[in-house]
Amino acid sequence: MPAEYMPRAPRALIVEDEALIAEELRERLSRIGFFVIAAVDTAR
Amino acid sequence: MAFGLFIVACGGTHFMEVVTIWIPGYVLSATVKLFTAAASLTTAIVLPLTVPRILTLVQQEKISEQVTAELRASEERKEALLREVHHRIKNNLAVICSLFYLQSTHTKDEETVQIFQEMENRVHSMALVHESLYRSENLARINFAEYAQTLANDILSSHGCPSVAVCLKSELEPVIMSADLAIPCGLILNELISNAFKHGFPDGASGEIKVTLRSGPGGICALCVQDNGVGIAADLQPKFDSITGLEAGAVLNRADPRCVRVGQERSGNLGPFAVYGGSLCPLNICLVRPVL
Repeated sequence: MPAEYMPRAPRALIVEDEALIAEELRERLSRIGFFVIAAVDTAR
Repeated sequence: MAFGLFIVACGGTHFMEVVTIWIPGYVLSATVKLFTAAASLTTAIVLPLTVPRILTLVQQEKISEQVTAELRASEERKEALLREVHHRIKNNLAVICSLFYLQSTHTKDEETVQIFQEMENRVHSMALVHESLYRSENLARINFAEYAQTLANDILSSHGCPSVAVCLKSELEPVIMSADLAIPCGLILNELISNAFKHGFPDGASGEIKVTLRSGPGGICALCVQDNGVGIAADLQPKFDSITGLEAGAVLNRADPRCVRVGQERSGNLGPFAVYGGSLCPLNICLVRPVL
């Protein structure tokens, strides 16, 4: 579990097939206080 | 023709035969019969010649139908391919935006972060044209009003709304623009709105930025970015390229200087100029390429 994980933080799952865009989203979401569970490339 | 004549003549013969039962018009009857014989003979000669021609025509019709169907299918394949290409260009440009953003997270220097963000916005303005293109009907032109609205909103959110007290107003008339014109116009619009944000409202000042797009006669439309911020200092002679920090020349060259004109032509002042309480930058865009 990442160090910045806080029990109260809203959680997010990133579904994006472009790895770099997923990485940007992860960065942006973390900065505004989301806890990103995972970044996957497909909903299946 | 001959066949039609033969049919009529046949009918005439039979009619005459019936008539001759009561009225003995043998000469007339014979004439009609002779005529029928002639028509029949002509038909017999002409028909073998015409039938193959008719058959060829029918065959040609079938072939041309087939060709039309094939052409339509090929057209559809090309359209799908072009749509896919625009989609991929947009995706690649979006990845470039991500790269700029990710790189900017590696530095603490405010100015550097800002440079990366400006670059991200510029590339985004181009990506948006390709996105509009693959969503458009004809794949060659976009509705610049919709484009400008989306771009303005995106620039606003990139400047950290809603913490920024600057609101956006827009009055946009639908203008259909070709892709090669929309790219430079989008870049210029991005610079103008970004500048209004950057220079018009220092230290968290509040105000509004207004984007207007009007379609005028003769294929000329007017795009205008106005703000009610601090305005441009009187001693500063604003030049478009120095104000925007972008090589406006390069952008305008691409757009063809005869097509896009920035600023007020009368005063020879290219670029935003100060108006009462803020700054204004009008942009005249010629939608039809002028004839040389």
